[in-house]
Amino acid sequence: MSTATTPAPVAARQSAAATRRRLAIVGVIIVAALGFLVYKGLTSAIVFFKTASEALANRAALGNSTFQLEGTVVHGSVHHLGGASVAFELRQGGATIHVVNSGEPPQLFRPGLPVVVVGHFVGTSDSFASDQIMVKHSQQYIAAHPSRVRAAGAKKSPARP
Amino acid sequence: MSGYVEAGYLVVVLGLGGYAVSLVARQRSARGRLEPKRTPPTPREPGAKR
Amino acid sequence: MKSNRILRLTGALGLAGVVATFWLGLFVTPNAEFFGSLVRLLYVHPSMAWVAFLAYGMAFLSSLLYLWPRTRHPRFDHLAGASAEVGVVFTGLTLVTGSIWGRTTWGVWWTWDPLLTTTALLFVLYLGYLALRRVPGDPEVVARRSAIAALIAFIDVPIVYFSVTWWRSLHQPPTVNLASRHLYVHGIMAFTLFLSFASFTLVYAWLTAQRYRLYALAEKEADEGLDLALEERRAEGVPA
Repeated sequence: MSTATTPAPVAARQSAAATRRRLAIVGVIIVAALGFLVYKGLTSAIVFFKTASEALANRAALGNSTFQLEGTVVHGSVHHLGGASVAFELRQGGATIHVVNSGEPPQLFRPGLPVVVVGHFVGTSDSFASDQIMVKHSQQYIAAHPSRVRAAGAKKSPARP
Repeated sequence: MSGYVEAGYLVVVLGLGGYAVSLVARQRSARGRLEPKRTPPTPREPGAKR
Repeated sequence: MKSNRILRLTGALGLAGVVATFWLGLFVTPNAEFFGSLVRLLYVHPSMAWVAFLAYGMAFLSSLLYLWPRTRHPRFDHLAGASAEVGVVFTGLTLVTGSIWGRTTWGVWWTWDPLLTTTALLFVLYLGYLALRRVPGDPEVVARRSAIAALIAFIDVPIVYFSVTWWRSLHQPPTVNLASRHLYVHGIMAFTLFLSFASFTLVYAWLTAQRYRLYALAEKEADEGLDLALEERRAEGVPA
């Protein structure tokens, strides 16, 4: 360290040592965080989900492992079961998968929208048990028709804390 | 509104406001540390406030 | 001085712009189909990400200018550090506002989607850059290694931007799509969105200038501290 060559008071030199120690700790944390994020990037992010047709094509290999499944919620297929569970069908590329989700779907969940569900195939069947639904939406934002604003507002009075 | 919207706006205000205040405060303390060492009253640098 | 007046004007305009954006965003713009009032987060979240990109771009350019021997000057090192620090603040706000928006629209606070993961990476990369700047050493050596680090960290910026097109993502493509030159929002909603971009850009400029001044002050302080130490040593009779 070249600052050691400049004449610095002892106190300053001691605080420089403390600074170096602190920086070493920060450095370790940052390197660990970078490593974790790169790992996540390579394992989860690079193939964030499997589409319904891919999942069925690889049904045997997937077994009962947990993964993210993508498809569009089929109109008229959504049924609320007992408790907070909901059942629906996901369609993508000609493949349809029956999904039972435990837990309340997100507030924007509705038929016709693409969603990503997190879960696994049940037993040896082609039906999927999920515990999380993520709603995909487009980048387009269209002003609501005034008459619909009230409806949307009423629908959305949040039941959520 | 949902509460989430307001939270989003609030986070931006607090984040940027807090950062701005910290920058101004740090400048002030840095100037405070610099000032007393100068015996002749040097003209204020352009960046100085007031 | 003139530059000081320009800076004050920048700050005032930025602040006024943000106030106007918030007023339009919260009270004037309409609810959107499907999203209802959740569309209002459009006027804060994308502009945070835009400014973060801009800030890292500025840090990249300043670092290049520092490394280029003909333009090497501490002011470019200071500008790079200042801009990157402001960029980290805006990246943090991108992550937090995005998380809030994601919770209500997607249904999750966080997921390891490529855009989210690479943005988190961006945040940590530049935190690392800021930490590296603090590693003590000869000022020129510190400045040079910081500049190189800024160039390396910037690689992640285009990766973040294109992640939604390169990989399967939960996140939608940008509403203001630079690649396809398409705008997916209209009327007062588009106006407010652009106002938010402009206002936060001015806020970025003001914050970066303030942070830059802090570097200048710290340098002056270091010079004076060195002079003082030399004097002390001479007084002690130790050859400096």
